[in-house]
Amino acid sequence: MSECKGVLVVGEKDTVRETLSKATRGVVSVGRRLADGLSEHLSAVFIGDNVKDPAEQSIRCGCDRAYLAEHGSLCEYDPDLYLPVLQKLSEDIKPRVVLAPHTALMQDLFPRLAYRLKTCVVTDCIHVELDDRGAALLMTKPIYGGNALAVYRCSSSPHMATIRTHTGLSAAPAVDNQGEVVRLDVDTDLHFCRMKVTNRIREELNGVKLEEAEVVVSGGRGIGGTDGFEHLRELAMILNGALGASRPPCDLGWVSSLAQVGLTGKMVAPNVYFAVGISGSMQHLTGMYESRCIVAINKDATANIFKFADYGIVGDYRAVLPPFIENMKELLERKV
Amino acid sequence: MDELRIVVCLKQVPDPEAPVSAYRIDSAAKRVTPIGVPPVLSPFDENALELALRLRERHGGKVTAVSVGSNLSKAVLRKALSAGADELILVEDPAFSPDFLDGYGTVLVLAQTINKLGAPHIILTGRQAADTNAGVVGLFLAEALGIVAVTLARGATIEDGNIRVERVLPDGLEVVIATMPALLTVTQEAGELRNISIKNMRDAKNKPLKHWKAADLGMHVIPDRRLMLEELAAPARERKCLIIEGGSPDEVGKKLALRLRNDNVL
Ligand SMILES: Cc1cc2nc3c(=O)[nH]c(=O)nc-3n(C[C@H](O)[C@H](O)[C@H](O)COP(=O)(O)OP(=O)(O)OC[C@H]3O[C@@H](n4cnc5c(N)ncnc54)[C@H](O)[C@@H]3O)c2cc1C
Repeated sequence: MSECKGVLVVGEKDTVRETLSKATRGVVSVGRRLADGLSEHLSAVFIGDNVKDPAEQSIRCGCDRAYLAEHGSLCEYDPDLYLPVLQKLSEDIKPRVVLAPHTALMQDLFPRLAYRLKTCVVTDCIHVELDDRGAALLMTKPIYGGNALAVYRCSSSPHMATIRTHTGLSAAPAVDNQGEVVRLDVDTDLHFCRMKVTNRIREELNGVKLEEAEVVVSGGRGIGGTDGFEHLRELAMILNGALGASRPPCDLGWVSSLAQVGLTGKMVAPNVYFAVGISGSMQHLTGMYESRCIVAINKDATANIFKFADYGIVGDYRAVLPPFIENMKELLERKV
Repeated sequence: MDELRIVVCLKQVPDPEAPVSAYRIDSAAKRVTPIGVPPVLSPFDENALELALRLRERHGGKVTAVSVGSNLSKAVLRKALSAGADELILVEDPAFSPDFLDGYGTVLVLAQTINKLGAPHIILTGRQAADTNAGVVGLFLAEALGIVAVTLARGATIEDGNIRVERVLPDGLEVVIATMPALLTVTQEAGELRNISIKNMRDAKNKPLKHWKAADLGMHVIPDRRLMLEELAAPARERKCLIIEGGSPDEVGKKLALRLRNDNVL
């Protein structure tokens, strides 16, 4: 469809800091690269009850235009309210490409939007680029839990993708870009409400947030139970890091399921990632292989994790972890 | 309300827990050929089936399992009947091979199947399939049928004619009340599929298993693909691992600490 033009990013705000979310910033920089390649505009759209700040920040980060759908009724995500806004905007501006970060909200929203726009979506892309003719978006996504990389193209328009959000995506620097903020009319009569959130329980996790930690100490099935995780907690604490886990410890209730790292858990890319008693399934590696340095402790020398680690110890973690922790503590104290 | 009707959508996939070395990638044919990896039910679909069975235990009704594809393994999909589903419908046609059908096409077939079955109150799918990892079919299906969809369900009950869903958030949990009919995508927190006994397997032999083809659904043209697979490659990202060795665990632990310090890692 040749009349489609430009790149649209569906943005999210960081609800704690009330700013443009880091993940959105990363996607804005991807969008900028595509828009420059096409010599077309980059826009972003924000929906909520108070999203002027993130919209303005998106312009400083490189957007030519930021659309704003602001209304009290939009303060909570409800697909029945958000979708008509996005559908109308897409039909009005006819973007060539529509992108969003692969967050929980967008995983819920984007497939619905794709269906309504009579197109398809590739979720959880690790790379997107234009083909040689600049006509189609090539979207790279791990499949089979990361055992293969597929490159997809979409034959319908717009081309839609959600982009995996851990680092590796350098967030766009705040430049002195000029652009305009455009307010969208919000049809407030839309409230026919097919679903309603009646209760929400946020689990308070002490210490550093897993996705933001510089150091992550993760344990797997090989840890054997809740007691073993105490060692890992201690290590995480002295390194000012966060505790993570592969899926089995979460399923078995040894740790909170919020600690799960991997394809269907959190995506992390810290400076240092400790994988203790973790075999290295692709589904787990997917969530952490972009860490700068990976340290593996496993009693099985043939464990797959060693193929992806920078440092390794072959041995029982119960024997090697305590002396490691002791020595690490000493070395860190010596520094200050 | 009349008898509760629940449909669970199941996909057969190569066992995702197979060792990494078992996955052969044929870039020329753009195909993944898992060597010696048996097909299984996609794990999140098993979670969906478990949730369906629990809903039936609590509220009564009927659970229908549906799978769309080509070359479906009866042995694998029969597991749904053994676990407790009341009937199984295999919607199988050469035209429904993944070479022809993408997620969108699959949804059109599923929607036709569900229309033929008669509108259910609840449709359950896994949050995403273990092979394509897309997480699109459930939401597309709800849109195609024009019904409400709640994603990442870990539990559900029916209250006053509505469905009450516990939904997993990245940092907790929320409770959503939705109108029915509703589609839920189900996550692992819903719990593993129950154990199956020999007796369950024997009983399953007497349950209805239907085969429907494209023509039975009145589908004479295969829907055009919207998604094209351009390339398939093996991920290349192995690292060179320095194995720290020593005479005793104490020595190894100490050496690792020193090494990480000297290399400015920590
Ligand atoms: C669709 C799908 C999505 C998934 N998503 C995720 C996900 O997001 N995250 C995730 O992690 N998994 C996920 N999985 C599960 C994944 O396939 C693996 O089953 C899981 O990662 C294995 O966890 P593990 O390495 O802890 O356990 P195992 O594979 O059982 O490995 C345990 C390891 O511990 C070692 N060990 C045992 N005892 C000791 C000891 N005393 N000292 C040192 N080492 C020891 C063993 O040698 C072994 O290597 C998913 C699976 C599917 C199908």
